[in-house]
Amino acid sequence: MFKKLISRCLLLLCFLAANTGNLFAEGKPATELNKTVKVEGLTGLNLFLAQTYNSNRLLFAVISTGVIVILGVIVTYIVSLFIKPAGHTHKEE
Amino acid sequence: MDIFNIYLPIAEIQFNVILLFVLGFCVGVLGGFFGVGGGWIVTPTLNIFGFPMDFAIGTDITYIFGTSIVSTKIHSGLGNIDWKLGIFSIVSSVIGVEVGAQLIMYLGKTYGIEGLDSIVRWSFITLLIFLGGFMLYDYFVVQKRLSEEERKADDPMQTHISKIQKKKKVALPIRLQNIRLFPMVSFKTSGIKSVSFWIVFVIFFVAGVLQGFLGVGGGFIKMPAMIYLLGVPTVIAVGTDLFNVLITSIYGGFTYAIKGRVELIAAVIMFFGGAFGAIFGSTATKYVRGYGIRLLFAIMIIVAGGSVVIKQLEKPLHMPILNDISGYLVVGAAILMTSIVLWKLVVSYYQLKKSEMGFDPDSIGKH
Repeated sequence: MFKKLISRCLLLLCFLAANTGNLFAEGKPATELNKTVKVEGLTGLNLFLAQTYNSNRLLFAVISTGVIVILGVIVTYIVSLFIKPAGHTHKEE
Repeated sequence: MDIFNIYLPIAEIQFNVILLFVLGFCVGVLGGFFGVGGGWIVTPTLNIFGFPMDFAIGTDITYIFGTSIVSTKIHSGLGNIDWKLGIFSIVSSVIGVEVGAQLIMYLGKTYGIEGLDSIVRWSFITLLIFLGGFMLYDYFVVQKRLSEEERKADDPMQTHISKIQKKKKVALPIRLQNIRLFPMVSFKTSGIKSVSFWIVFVIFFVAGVLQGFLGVGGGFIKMPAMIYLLGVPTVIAVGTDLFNVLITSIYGGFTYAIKGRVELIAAVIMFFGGAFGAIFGSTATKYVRGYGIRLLFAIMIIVAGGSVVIKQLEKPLHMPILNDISGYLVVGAAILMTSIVLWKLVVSYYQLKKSEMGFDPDSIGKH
């Protein structure tokens, strides 16, 4: 529980620190960021991703990060079922 | 091989699924084993095989974020993460990254883009080769000392002399831990009873400055820093570094996605390869001794440094092929290193099983 809380606080700290950095950053104009992708001929998941990318970049970012988090948690859960924690080994050198 | 090609709608390119999976797997193994993100392997590889550079970086960081969830969990289960040290490293290095980024802005204004590019690249080369060379030197010095100690074990007089000689030379982590600068902190998991907060802060701050200055994930800087400056055991340094990579890459992945530079489908395919690889890589740290990890890591970063040198020669020699050669060198080294790690894992596992079945008490801990 404590570890989770600390991790969340750190995440917030990273966001704040990096966003403060953006205030000083002298990046290129936003024109490149407004890139759109072709949707003609796309179907299913590809179409959904391309449309979201074109219409709402923030939602696209949330989906990208969310998908990886969900997959990470699922795989981690599966791994923990098959691999038992083996305790401390080889800490001494 | 065209049947394995899929269309990636955001990067708007065709790409081979098998290549993505294998690349993800190799970097997952190396990341879990060395405690690094592996961006210096993935980014040039994706770029060589057709990804635009900005998409290569964004996709790479998103994928690294996913695999580091799996690696961190496994290392956590193995007791390899010093959470307190991890938090210290994240906070200190975030401040350092900002300073490094500001330094880049300043140098960019002063020397122009081409001058800056050259400064960063040569700094990167120097750092990689210095770190790799130092770790290699340290490995061979330790091996030599161990063999000498074994040889002198039968001679009590010689052992006595070598003990006196050893006492004269105090290791750097101990010297740093002896500096009493208030407030003092301790890291139980790493076996550090007392060290000045400022020493820890300065180490990770400098690592963060280098990270921000060189534009890299920083795992390959922080992992050796923990070992050689703080005296953290190798496996704990690996696990703690992965926790650091996890937290910092969450933000990286998100911000690149907002900028529209993440190819999600490619990241997911690589994630599956990477997660699978991370299981093997992280588990291998349980079987391979700390110095074995350091040797392989040293070789890998020297090869990475060599590949950047080759890339740097591309312009003065007017040979565009050198760019491809440098990329293939990194990929080749990554595949070779992955094979070595997997081989060591399999051999150590079977030796352990054999000794368990043979009920030989002397064999415990010798694998």
